[in-house]
Amino acid sequence: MGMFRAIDTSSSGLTAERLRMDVISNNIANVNTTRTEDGEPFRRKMVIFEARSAQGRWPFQDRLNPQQPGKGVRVNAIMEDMAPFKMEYDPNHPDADAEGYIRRPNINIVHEMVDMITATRAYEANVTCINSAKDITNAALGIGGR
Amino acid sequence: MFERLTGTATLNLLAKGLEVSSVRHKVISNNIANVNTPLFKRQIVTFEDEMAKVFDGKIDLVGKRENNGHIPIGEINYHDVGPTTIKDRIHVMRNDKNNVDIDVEMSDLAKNTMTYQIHATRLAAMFAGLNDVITRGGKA
Amino acid sequence: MRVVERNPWVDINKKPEKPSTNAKEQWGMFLDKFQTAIDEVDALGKTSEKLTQDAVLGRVDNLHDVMIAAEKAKTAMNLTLEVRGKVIEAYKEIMRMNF
Repeated sequence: MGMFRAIDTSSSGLTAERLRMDVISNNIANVNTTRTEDGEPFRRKMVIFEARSAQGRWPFQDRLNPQQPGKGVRVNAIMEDMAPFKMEYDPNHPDADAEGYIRRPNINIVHEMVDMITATRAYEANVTCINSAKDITNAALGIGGR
Repeated sequence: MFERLTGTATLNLLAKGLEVSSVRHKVISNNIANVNTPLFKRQIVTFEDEMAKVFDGKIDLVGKRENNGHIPIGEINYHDVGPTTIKDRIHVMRNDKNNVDIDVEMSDLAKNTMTYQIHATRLAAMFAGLNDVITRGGKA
Repeated sequence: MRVVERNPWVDINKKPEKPSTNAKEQWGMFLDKFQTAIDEVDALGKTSEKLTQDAVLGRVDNLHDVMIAAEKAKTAMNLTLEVRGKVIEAYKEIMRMNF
């Protein structure tokens, strides 16, 4: 436990949001990528966040001791979005198939921008939490006058 | 003499704590400076667990004294326990084999600064208390 | 019938102590109480020191516990010193009296 557990929790949030930003940036950079290593167009990636509970990863352990606050967040996996690719008719493109259609990544720029703003705000909120923890500690040190 | 008069185990422990915080600050600053260095592994300072064991009188190695002339082994003088800097290999590494996470370092920095302030405040308050008692106890 | 709230801190069944007229007894009772107070101050001081050690060793969850314990110990010590000063002053004053 310790008196700095809140800071550790916020720090896990910072790391997770930063990773999400990296994934979003990668999605945006590859919005028109029609070729990847496996020959497919680029597939949108997304992060799966998982809450870290105070003890154990199994759900029933939380019920044994429900009074403990959790230990923050962790990125469980970076998964590919299995939504279908966008089809575009462009027979002159080198990657066009037999019917002249080319498959573009399943990335919606507007969606990614909104995710980016969300991640930024979450990051800032976590930073505010850490600053508050600092203020709390300073206030406690002031008990008894200095 | 000072130790026996005032029972200053706590004062010494607080002073050690300040030393540890100081070393930790340097280590964290070094980690932050090397956030983009390839192959760099972050370092951490261990102290609290080791000192907690010694302070409680728990010792790992126990010897049996057959003769009173034998020097006891496994007894650590708590003055000898100090901050130890070790390489942290646990964290996830990036492609350049660097495992420094700037967010973790910044929060460690915040925690360390607060710890230093706590130790310094308590140390100052304890000394002030001692001085106060000595001064006012002398007035009669 | 009106319900009167009882103060839980006051034991209504306890008989008040009979004040004694014997000076020696009075002085003895005062010294007993003073001794109890000093023991309590010592206990507070030890608690505060233990909590400060725990803070350095990383065993403390709430910093305010440490600060409050320290403040309690300091205040108790201050009070004891003041009372001691007053007692000595009173003693001196009595000794100054000429009969």
